[in-house]
Amino acid sequence: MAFYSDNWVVYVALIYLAINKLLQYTISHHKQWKSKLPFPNVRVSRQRFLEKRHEIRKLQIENRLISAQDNYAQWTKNNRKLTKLEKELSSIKEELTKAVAKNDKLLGTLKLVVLTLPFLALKLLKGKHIVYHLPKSDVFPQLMSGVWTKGWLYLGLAPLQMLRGRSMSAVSITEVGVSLGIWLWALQRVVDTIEFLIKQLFLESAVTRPEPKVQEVHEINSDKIELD
Amino acid sequence: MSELSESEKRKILRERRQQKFRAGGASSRLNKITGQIPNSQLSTESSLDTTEANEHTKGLSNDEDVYQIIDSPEGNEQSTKEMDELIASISKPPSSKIIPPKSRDFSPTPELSETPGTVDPFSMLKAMQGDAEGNGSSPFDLFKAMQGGGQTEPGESPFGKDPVDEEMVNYHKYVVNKLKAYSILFKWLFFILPYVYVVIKSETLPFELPNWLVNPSNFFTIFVAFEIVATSIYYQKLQTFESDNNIDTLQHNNKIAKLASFIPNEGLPIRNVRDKVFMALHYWDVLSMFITDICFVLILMGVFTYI
Repeated sequence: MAFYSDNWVVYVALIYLAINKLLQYTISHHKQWKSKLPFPNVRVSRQRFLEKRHEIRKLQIENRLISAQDNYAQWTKNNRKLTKLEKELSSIKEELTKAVAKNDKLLGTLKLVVLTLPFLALKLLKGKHIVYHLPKSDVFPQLMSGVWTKGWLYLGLAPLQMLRGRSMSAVSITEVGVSLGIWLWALQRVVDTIEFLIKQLFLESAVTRPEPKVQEVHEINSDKIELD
Repeated sequence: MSELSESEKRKILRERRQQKFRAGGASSRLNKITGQIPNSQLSTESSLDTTEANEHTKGLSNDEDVYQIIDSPEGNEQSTKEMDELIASISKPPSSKIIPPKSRDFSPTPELSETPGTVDPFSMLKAMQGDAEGNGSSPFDLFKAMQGGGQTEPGESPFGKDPVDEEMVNYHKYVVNKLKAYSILFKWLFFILPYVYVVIKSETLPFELPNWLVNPSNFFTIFVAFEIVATSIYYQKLQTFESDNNIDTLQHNNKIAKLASFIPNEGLPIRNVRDKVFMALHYWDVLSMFITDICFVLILMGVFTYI
């Protein structure tokens, strides 16, 4: 139980990472999913838009069926009605665009509040939590061991400490641990590299070398040209 | 409020009509009727023949999502495509044939060329100018002078170097990415993974290995030495590809390098800024690969701790 209670930070961080990766991989489907969400403002505008468009198309078909010369009055009346309907359609479309933009902004804020900010808070508050200790403490140089244990701040403060004359052996010589912040950074980098490897080795289609283009050398031997 | 007289009413209507004309209202309406603008009401297509019309009379289409509605363009797309095709056909260079001359004798009077439909413009020009220039230079001398005094080599375009072929750039990117992928895979699978395992689990190995190899304090030295060798091999291979394809990888793949190529090398307080930027980008590339391998080592050590 102690194992799980100590490492809940790691599990939560892994869950956040997994969710972020899932969102990254499914980015092409986001618009489709967002359009299926039952926002009342969008649903109403969309319905009105489709009805209006259907009306316009019906009237356009009717207008094409009648002869402009024989039924000029009716034809002109239909045209005027069409112009009016088109103006209404464009205003509904504008309304729909604004409603969609508002919903997109709301979803973005939701993602920020539910996903991004908590993950950032976890990294800031629990960034120095040791995920595991390196099996051998003398594998890396002291500077690097300090960074793994204390985080990137150690790298920034190291020159200052050297100027003050303090030694850099702020870390324990017996045990070198890897902090959560460093571990997450390393894990993300490794995952990105594995993605790159899979993409290049298995998913990318082969590109053949293009044939060299023979440059035509044009020499002017005559001042006569043939007219087209 | 007093009622307006007939003449005042007519005046107001006339002013409104004139305002409308000035704003182009009348002509836009006329264009709409005669079908000269998109979304025109006049169309020669029969609506009974089109299936699209039949689909819309059936009912509302509920499958269209809001993003498709918002992104759908207004107006007639087909006419836009036709216009694009027309512009493309106009921008093709006109064909012209050069007929080899039988003689280069330019007489003052315009001569009738032997091949019908051909014209000798230079002789016509000379005829128009007359012999006022005296001997006059042949048109070919003038043309050669226009080319810049023979500075270009035969066969070379006088307008500078040809732009790099896009197909070649894509092929080069593909080859470089493949090289990078294989080199990372090789390093990770055949060196880093086994070496880290051997260093961490040296006590549990069934066979004995030299002490200098499994000593944890030598790990970083051996690791860096391997990285130097691997990176040198990688860059040698990369240079071979670059010389074969005649493409600079950094300038075509890196946005900072593309921007830096606009910086002039002289005229700035710091000399050779562009070259320094390219060198820094090269070093960053090497450092980035090293950092990625270090990250892999850290993760592997964590995994082997729990195994």
